[in-house]
Amino acid sequence: MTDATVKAVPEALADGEIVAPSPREEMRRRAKSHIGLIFGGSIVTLVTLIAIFAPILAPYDPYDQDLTRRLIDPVWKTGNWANILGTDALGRDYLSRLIYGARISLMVGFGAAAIAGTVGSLIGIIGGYFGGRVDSVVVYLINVKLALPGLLIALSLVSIVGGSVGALVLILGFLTWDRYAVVTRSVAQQLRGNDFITAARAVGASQTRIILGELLPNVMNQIIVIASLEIAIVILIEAALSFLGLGVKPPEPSWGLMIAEARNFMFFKPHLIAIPGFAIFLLVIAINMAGDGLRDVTAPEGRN
Amino acid sequence: MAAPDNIDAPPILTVEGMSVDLKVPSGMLHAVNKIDFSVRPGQTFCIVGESGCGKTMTSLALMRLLPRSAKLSATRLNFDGHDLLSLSDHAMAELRGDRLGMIFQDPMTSLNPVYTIGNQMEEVYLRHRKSGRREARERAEFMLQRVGIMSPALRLKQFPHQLSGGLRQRVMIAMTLMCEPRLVIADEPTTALDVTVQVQILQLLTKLQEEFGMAIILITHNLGIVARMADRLAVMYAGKIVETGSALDVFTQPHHPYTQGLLRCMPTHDHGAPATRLGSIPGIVPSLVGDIRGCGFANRCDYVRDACRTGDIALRELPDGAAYRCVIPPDEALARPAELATP
Amino acid sequence: MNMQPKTQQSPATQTPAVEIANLSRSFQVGASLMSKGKTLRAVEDVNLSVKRGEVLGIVGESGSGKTTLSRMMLGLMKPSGGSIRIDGQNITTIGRSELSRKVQPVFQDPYSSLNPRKTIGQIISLPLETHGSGSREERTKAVEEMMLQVGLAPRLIHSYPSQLSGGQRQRVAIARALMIRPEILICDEPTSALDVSVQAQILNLLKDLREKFNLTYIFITHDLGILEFIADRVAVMYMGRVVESATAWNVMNAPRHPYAEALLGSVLTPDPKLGLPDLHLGRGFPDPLNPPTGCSFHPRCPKAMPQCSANAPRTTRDEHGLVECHLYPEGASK
Repeated sequence: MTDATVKAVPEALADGEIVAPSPREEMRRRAKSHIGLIFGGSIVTLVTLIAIFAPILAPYDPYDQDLTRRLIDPVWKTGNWANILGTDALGRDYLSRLIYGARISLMVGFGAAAIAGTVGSLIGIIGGYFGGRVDSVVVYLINVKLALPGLLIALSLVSIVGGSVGALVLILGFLTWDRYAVVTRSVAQQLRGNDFITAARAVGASQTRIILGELLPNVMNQIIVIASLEIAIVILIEAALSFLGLGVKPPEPSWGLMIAEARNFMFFKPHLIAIPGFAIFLLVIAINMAGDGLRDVTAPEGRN
Repeated sequence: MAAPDNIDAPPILTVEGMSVDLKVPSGMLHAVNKIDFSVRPGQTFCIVGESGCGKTMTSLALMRLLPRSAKLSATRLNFDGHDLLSLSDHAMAELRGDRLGMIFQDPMTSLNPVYTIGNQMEEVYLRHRKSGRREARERAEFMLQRVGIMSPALRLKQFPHQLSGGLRQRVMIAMTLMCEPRLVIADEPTTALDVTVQVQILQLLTKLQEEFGMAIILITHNLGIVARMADRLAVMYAGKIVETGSALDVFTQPHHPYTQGLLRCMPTHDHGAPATRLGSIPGIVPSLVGDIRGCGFANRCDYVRDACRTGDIALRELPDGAAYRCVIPPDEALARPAELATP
Repeated sequence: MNMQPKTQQSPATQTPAVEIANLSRSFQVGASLMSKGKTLRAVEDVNLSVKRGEVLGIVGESGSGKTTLSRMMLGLMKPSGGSIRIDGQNITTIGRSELSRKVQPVFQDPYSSLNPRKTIGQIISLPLETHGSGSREERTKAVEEMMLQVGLAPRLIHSYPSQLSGGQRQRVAIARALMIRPEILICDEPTSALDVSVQAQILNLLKDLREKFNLTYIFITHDLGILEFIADRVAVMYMGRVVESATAWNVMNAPRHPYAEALLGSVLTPDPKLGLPDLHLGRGFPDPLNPPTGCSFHPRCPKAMPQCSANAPRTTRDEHGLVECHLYPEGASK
């Protein structure tokens, strides 16, 4: 340890200069210039806020029937400002039902994605990281899942269990985990050969720590992107199931159910179908745009 | 070291004021900044520098294989009578693989894994020479023999993954030489190979150069390779050529502080007691985005002075076509290594 | 955290830091339900001993088994035969956590050895978190001190690996390895992905840290030129076997095995007066799944004799070290 040692420190400290912006700054910069992400993201945020504050925002109780005020037209036709979107066949305020309907759509969508994401990602990461026999089991599970007719099973399960929101979340969650598993498995496979995993093992880190602390942060982007796309699909399935009478049961204000209830008035009150239909369309397309945007923003080059 | 330095022959490649600018989110990145050099037939010209100095961009620019976001400009860019700047994409594609060959670092990724060696070698020949399959096959067999591959007929039927790294690089060289190019650009051709194989491949390149008389531009970060292979060389730093000259001149009498620093970093092997400490260059390469004022090396240089930070640094000419880009005059520059040896 | 360097205990100097005896490791390649596949002998009958505070250089080309050897010494791979003793204790009897306090790795590629999603501070403190040492503040303090030791500005603690240069990243990797004060550092080509000027910085740093922390290095590389600078002793590996082992000076100045000679010849010093060396090596690179009979180097060896292809050479040990070649028959070295 001579004067040379002393010199070694400053020579390196001189390159303390940071050469590039952090990955987060990069991402923020890309997000700011991504129109799809901004548009989709703000609509999703708006709908989420509406759903959360539904009791404050909704002008009436969505379950309150008033048979004297049935089938009032919305304000732009012959209606009045008391019921902006008019009322349905049972005299319930359509705007209030629409606002509460957002709650069901988002709860089912996010709830199912949370279950599917957790289960699928965990299965996928474990298979990809451990490889060998563990992976064979995971691949087998994924293949079995892919071979199942998902919607058919959803239909039959819902008709057996009944259509509460909780049951729908569980059933749809366990029907959509496969995509998370496929993607996270392949990412984990690529990552497990990286030296930072070996370094963590050499330091004595447990497998749980490696999976949750080292692998998961690297797979998170992919999980979020898949989740955003899956949420849209689940929302559509929920609407379809409710429309068929197999989903959320009346008098819950599900958008799919609202369309189903309006079927009889399709020809002389078309707005009863158009309004919830447009709500589903807008939410799904916004989620898809946000998902695409997230994928672009977190694209591989952003991960260095 | 290879062919004699035929100073009189007209250059096969002349590069004057060549720049490559890349568009990046934070602005314009000047990857290559107004470089000049020329290569004569049969000559080995080495471009040496560390990562990010612009040497790979230079080679891609010469092949016109730059990424789309890059802008190439030059006052003169002449190869064998062709103006590389104005040549159409089609004419350029005709030139590549025919008169202008390229050898890449990783032979695994530059050979297509789904075609046999024979297929790929013949394809090059069929494309540039109007010949039959049989002639192409014979040519491929001949070239494989020239690069020292035993039983070429058998190898032609094999796929790239069936060969070892050294063999693949030999195949790559054979493929590049199919049409007897006048100039071969080799970008780190031996970096992915084992050290003993590296020497063998370099020897092969030298031997083939004598046989076919082509010029070679060898791009590498390895000073040892440069010293042993180069007739002339250019040291690049931060997109600029900071020193150029014959290998003998530059290695025995380096003038630029960066060249001197690089040479001090090499572990020496002189059958004596090994050095207790290696020389090193403090700091890191400056960002090449935006306008660069003065010398790019100024922040890492031990001899920096005020003149280094303003304006363009002029090239100082030395005898025998050598030159270096520094504000310090030659006699003072040469006095330095001795002064450093006894601190 | 005890930030003071360990003081050398005199009795401990008697036991070697690492002792490897008859170590082998083979892999089954292409095994399926129907066939057993072929056996790849990655490491075969390796004997090495590293004294405390010594730097052992292991040199060899790709496929020589040096990386398999390093993984076994890190306890990440079980030997098929033979033993590794760390401080006299068999590695199989040392627990994962205890072993990690003794042996730590530094890898070749500073781009894949750091988790891109974590900050420098998180990366360097991982060993402390894993071993549950200290409070959060103590850990941060220890990280900052270690960053200074390896020449990193502490303000980089919140940046991500992608923001650092190759040399800075390698310093982070070294800092992480040193956090739990290991005795032995296994450096697997720690500078081959770096530029020349940065390589010199890292080699100098490793040399300083070795004195400061009284470390033992096992330094794996393909570049004999680096070893002259850093290593005390050198083991030359070829196809899984140690074919020569001697002091660095002996290997660099009087190599005995023809392969060691070829490796030395391949070191290209920047001397423009010298041309390319002639190695006289055969080109037939052996297939590790079908190793040649006799001495595995004989197809490439310029000095091959008839007996080289017939039977494998015995190991000769003398005052110069160890060599495995028919040119040096046992007892004839004097």
